[in-house]
Amino acid sequence: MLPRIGLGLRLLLHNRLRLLIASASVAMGVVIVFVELGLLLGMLDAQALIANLVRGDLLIMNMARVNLHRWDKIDLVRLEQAAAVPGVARVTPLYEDHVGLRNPADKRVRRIILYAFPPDDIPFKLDNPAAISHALKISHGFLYDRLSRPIFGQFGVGDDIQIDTVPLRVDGYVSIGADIVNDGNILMSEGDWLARLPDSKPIMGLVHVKPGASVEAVRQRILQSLPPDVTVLTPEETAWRETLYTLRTAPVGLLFAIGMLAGLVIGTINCYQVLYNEITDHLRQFATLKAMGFSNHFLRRIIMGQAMVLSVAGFSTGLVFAWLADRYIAGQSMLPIGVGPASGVIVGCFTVLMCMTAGLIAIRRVAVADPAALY
Amino acid sequence: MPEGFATDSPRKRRAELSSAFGMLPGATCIIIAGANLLQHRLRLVAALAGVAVALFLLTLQISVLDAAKAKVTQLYDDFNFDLAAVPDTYQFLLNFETIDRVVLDQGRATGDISRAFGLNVDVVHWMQWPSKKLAYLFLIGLDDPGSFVRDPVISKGVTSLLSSNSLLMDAYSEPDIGPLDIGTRAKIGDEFETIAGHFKLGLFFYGEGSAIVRNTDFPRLTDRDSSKVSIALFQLRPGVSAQKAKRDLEAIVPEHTLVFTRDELLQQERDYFLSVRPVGIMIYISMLIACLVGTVIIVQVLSTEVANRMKEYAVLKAMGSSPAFVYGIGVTQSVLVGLGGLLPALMIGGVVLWYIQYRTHLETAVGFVLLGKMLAITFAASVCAAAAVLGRVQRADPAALY
Amino acid sequence: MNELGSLQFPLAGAARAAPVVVARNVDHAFDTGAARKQVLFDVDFTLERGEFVILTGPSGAGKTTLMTLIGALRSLQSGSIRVLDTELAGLRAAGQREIRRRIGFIFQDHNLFDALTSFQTLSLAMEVSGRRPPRSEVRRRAVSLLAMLGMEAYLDSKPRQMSTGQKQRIAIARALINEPPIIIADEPTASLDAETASLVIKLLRQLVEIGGASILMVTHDNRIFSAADRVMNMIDGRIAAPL
Repeated sequence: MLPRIGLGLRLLLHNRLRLLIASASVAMGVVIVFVELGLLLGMLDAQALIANLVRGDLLIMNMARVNLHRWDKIDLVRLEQAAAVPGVARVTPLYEDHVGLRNPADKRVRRIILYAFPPDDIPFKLDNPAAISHALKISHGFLYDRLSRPIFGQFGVGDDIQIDTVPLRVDGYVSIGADIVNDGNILMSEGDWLARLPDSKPIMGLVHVKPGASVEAVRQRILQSLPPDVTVLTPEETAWRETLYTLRTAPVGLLFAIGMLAGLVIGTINCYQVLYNEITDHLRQFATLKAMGFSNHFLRRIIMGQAMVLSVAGFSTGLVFAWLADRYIAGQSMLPIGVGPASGVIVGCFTVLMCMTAGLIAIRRVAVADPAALY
Repeated sequence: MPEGFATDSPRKRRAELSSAFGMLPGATCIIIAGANLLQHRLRLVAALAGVAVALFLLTLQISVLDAAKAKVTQLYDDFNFDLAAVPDTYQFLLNFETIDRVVLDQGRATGDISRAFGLNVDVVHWMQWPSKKLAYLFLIGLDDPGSFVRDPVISKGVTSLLSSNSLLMDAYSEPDIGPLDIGTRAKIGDEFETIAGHFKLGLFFYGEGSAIVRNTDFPRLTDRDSSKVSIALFQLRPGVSAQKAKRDLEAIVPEHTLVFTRDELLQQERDYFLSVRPVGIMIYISMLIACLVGTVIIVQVLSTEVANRMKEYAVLKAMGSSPAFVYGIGVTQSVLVGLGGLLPALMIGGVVLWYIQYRTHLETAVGFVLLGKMLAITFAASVCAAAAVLGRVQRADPAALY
Repeated sequence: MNELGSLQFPLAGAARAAPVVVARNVDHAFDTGAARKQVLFDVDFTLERGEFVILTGPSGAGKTTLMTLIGALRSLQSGSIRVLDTELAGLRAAGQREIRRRIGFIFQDHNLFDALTSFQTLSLAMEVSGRRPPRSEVRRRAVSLLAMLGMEAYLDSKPRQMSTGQKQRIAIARALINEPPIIIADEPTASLDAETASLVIKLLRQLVEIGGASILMVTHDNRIFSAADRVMNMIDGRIAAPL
């Protein structure tokens, strides 16, 4: 049944204020779905952030480190052993630990994540890697992640900030981002970090495969060559593992899913009420069309056309408000929450489904239009 | 309708009912409101469904937010204290810095404090045996419970820990912790520990599970200096003001030590969770959006129900009915729809919240407090929606009907 | 070119052949059980080709019920009604729609869509057969018909831009745009001023005489009785003697 959009659109456009209110009514459901989906996807993206940010063909980690928020470290000798495997160009050690950063304003010390690595081999996909490398090599300070939560305070390049009671210079900024567990990040050179904690072990090694070598073949060789206390994954596999782990263990995922479902139901009911009122208001006109010989099928196509129009109007309106809401939430939570192509397509499909479902329920009302009642 | 057939109008039915029963105006309002609603049943069902879904969403979000706020302070709620001393690095319960145990003695020395209690927290590896699977365990160390511990299960459990290698395990720990049966052995560091009993907290924010040991065993399991403690808790002497005791204690505790009253500490935990922890922010904002959308939907549906009868209300006004009578019908109609939508919302919400509680151990199940909140919200929204619409009737000129 | 312009009615010029409507022994009742009320009692009625019949009578006499049965707007309960050689008894929904497409209904209320211009209204009416005629053809017929009704200036106007009488003329145009062989009208002049009412009745008369259409009209306006070939009186569900 192809919807008659032209006639349905004309009927809706006739009273623009009413159409606006109807769009807003459908948009309410759309906003809820967008926001809940945005929260869920933002949470998942945040948890997989580091996995998506690392530069490397493979990641080698302690087998016990089943998610990226565990602290199981890997022996440096494992990285050296991996570097000796044919096909491996180099292995970059990445150190991770949490340190206390004293807020210069309120003097409170708060935990922040520290990453340390060789300055000549930046392990993350960041802007201006040359500048980052230079800053870490020249000075003995740190780079601050400007996307850290505001609890750490404000400071500028050149300021001395206490890290675990030791004053260190802020050498510059990077943009990484916080997640559900960690509130912020700082970067330091491997040399400076090992000078503070000589016995520190890396959290993972970033394996760079030689040009032309097969990543999968290299992975298999590493697994065969090293003892079974390590795991080797691609960054994509690591990110996916992180997503699955978060979905499985984070109770808020269930809440967001239920919220989305409620949003869908709200949108469907609202759309149904709009269509129901449209039919009721035009019942005599529909009855006249029936008297003229138009079929119920024709009338149903008009209603489904209106449902399509409402889905487009509701989605467009909801998109604007959802974008604003997500910006606010992202600003408050410092998580990558926002409307993107994926969520746009998903919610768009849901919106059409919502409105078409409402239309299919509402078209039963059209059968009530009795041409005999016109007399 | 064919010619000659008198319509069985709602007005005629109302008049008949009213005269037949000779009821008071209040009851007449209810009868009229009910008849109005029942006239178009499909439309009533749609209105009830709209209100029900909005109220369901509100119920869900309010319950989850309240439960989350309760969960972040749950461990503290199990302790009976008036003041707390913490390191200046303290952000929330999972804090890795410590203060000197001497603070406990200093507190007693102020004269304001009757008892002091040391609470230790840390995160350790829990290695299942013999599988050697690792998980993170939130380890809690307690001094002799005395009157500090409110939960009788924890109090009795700690007191009955006879062996220094036994602990109480949180029965709500996640499956990654492994078997939770009494007698299960596992390793913390190099030490074998045996599960001697259980308690129920479900502190999923901090680790995959949690366990309680005596503070005499805590340093051995965590490499913690036994002269240090994570948090010092104090009970005040009767009649002592918490603020005064706080000032007195602040004057003598070492540098880098903060003192909070109980309320301040719990509020800080909640604030940190809601304004800093992203999960808290997300839950809070979800609740705000649900409130906003839910309120709009409820008001829209209820005001439409009343607005559909505007001509009839105008006629009543033209006939000389009092504002109280006109408002009475409209408000009653609105309240009936509101309460009619609340019932399925609470029923479905109850099931969903029970499931959330079962999965997450958040205390989300519908209780009297939540019920009271939802009744108040529903009633307020219903009355406001009706009043807003009926105000137009009161201001309208009945001559405009002609 | 006759005064009907380019409109052609399918039965125009046909000799007085079989009647377009033949109703025999028609009974009809509403509701069931204790609430059952019979409204038509053994009604016999015939509408000849090219005949203009007015049905009048007191309120509740059954005029509207008979009209809706003939127009296939209701299902026949008892008796026989043949419309344009099609028996309505037992006719299914699709069959009823086919009959309705050959009848032009004029209601007391115009029932126009507020959102559509006169042109769009007439264009929609022309789509009833499922075919969308070319825009030029629609325009030609619409302009011609509206001109006959004195409404050519309102081709692109919406109902809110017209008076009640003007809206009713558009509704009449909608009923006639497909050149139906039968026209069923219910108080078509009730909302019209005298001059416009006269215009409409004159047009309907021309449709009968020149176009060969057959008209069944329910009205209490005795000023237009003279325009009809026959005036039938219905009382208490029965057709009394013609007036």
